[in-house]
Amino acid sequence: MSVLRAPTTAEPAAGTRTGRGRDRAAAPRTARLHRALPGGMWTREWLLSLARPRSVVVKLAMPLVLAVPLVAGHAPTFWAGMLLTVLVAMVGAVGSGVALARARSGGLLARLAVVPRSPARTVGGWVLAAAAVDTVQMLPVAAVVLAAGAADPAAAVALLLCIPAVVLATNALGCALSLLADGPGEVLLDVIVVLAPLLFLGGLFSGVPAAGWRHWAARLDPFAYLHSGFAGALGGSPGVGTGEVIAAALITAALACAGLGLLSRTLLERG
Amino acid sequence: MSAPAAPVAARAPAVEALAVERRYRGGRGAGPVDLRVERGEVLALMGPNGAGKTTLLRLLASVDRPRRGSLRWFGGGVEVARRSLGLALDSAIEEATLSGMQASYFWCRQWIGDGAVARVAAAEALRDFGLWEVRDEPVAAYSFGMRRRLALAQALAHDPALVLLDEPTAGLDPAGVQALVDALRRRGARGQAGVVASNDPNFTAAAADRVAFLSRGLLVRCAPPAELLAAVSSGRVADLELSPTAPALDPPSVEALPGVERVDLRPGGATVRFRDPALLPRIVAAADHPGGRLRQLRLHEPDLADAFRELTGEELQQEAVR
Repeated sequence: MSVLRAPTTAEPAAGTRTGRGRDRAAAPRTARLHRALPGGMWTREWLLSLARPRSVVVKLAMPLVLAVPLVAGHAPTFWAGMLLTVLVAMVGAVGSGVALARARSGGLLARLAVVPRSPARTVGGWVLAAAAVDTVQMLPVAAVVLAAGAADPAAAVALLLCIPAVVLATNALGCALSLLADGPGEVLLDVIVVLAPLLFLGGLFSGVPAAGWRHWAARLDPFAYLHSGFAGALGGSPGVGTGEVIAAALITAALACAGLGLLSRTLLERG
Repeated sequence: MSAPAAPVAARAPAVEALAVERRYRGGRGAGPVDLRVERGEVLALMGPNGAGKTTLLRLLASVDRPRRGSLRWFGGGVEVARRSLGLALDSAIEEATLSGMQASYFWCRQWIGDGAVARVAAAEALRDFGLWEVRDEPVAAYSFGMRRRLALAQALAHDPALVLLDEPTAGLDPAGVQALVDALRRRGARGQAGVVASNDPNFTAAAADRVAFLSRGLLVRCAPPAELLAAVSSGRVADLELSPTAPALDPPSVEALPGVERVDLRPGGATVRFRDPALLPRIVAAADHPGGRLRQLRLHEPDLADAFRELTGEELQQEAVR
């Protein structure tokens, strides 16, 4: 999406600029960001995410605070993979769920509902950008894991595909849960209530049985594949093959996009 | 600037509601209501809290769908509405970390495909509402009034054929209110319509071609301001603010004064309408007895809030300082 430059001296104010002092004070760090113009939800979301440098640093540091001790302490790969999978799941679902619930209570969704753009384009741009931001947030974790685990290239590719796919799916899940919640605070509880059983079914808490319904449930659960991807990248024994992780990542991403497309109109019109 | 509206029927009204109704649990909401806003017309919705102004505005904006009845915009359906609308709700602006220019441009681009045109339109709207100097500052640094101005700039920047504004003068200073009145008048001259939900009698009298009084979700009266004011055009109005700790005012004691037309009690005070200005000292004396009860008095010509009281028997809660 194109990012245009705002008018500066070419389109001067009708009156005089009495706020020069404030302009200078506001200018330094974020002046360039504040002049990039968002034409759609994708750019808008990126600008909102990058506008506060402290927030960017905290977002990048938070997953590392968990990942580095796990890797440096040589935690068992099963449990390390579980914690990192839970982290990825929570980051995606909570972020989008809370953002949408807040946007709904603030009237933003109502305003977006009446623009002459397709809901899928609006919601899609928004959630894809949110998922991209979340993926960037998780990339340092992936780098630490891959560096420490000395994973083979295929396992690395599988992990690097599976993280954004699961992030996208959990963002979509967060959007769906925001429809049920009465406010941003409730979304957090709803996310935990829904994610915990899904993580359990993915075998994160107790492993995947070799047969039975839980075995098949795990085969359908994207968290099982991400867990396997982390475990494999950390040098452990993955539950499923690298090829399956890659295929699961692609299918998960496609289903998440389709789900968002189906949900988009409802998401906006419930605003 | 290119107007994004694409009216489908040249003579169709900007918006027409036929028996629309949307009620919530407990009976709140609006309808059934019949309403028609012509092109070039500004309609104001007035009514106390819970009268259904916002519900009706959201229906007219196609944000909510009516449970009963139908709506047409420029003779067409929701798709036509969404090409033609500008909307400002009374809620907070979400884009706190964006600059004013970014936030304004973003909404412009939702209607205007050409980025350069949208940039000029957003800049013009910011200038119209006095925000050009602070266009590159984050919205978070804006005062409440500046955020309200930004919301109005966002709603009007793409030059919509129909604009819907909820409580637009709340938080605005007199210059901001005047800028809005001017903008609505300019738009009206170009054939563009507007619906504003506002209990600010001075603003509605200045900006609206017609005013719709709502009570309990129903349209009680809809007429030009002058016609509504004719119901209360004689005499003057004294708004009395009374001490909450003193005994309540006894209306008959004031109504008994010759020349007093009407006394309406409201929380924290009373409104007295009277004909003869010479009567004022006696009204003050009656209101202030026992001594010290009267805290403040404001004298004014009858306005639309008085007309509303006269015609509905209800008091308007006002969102803006008169």
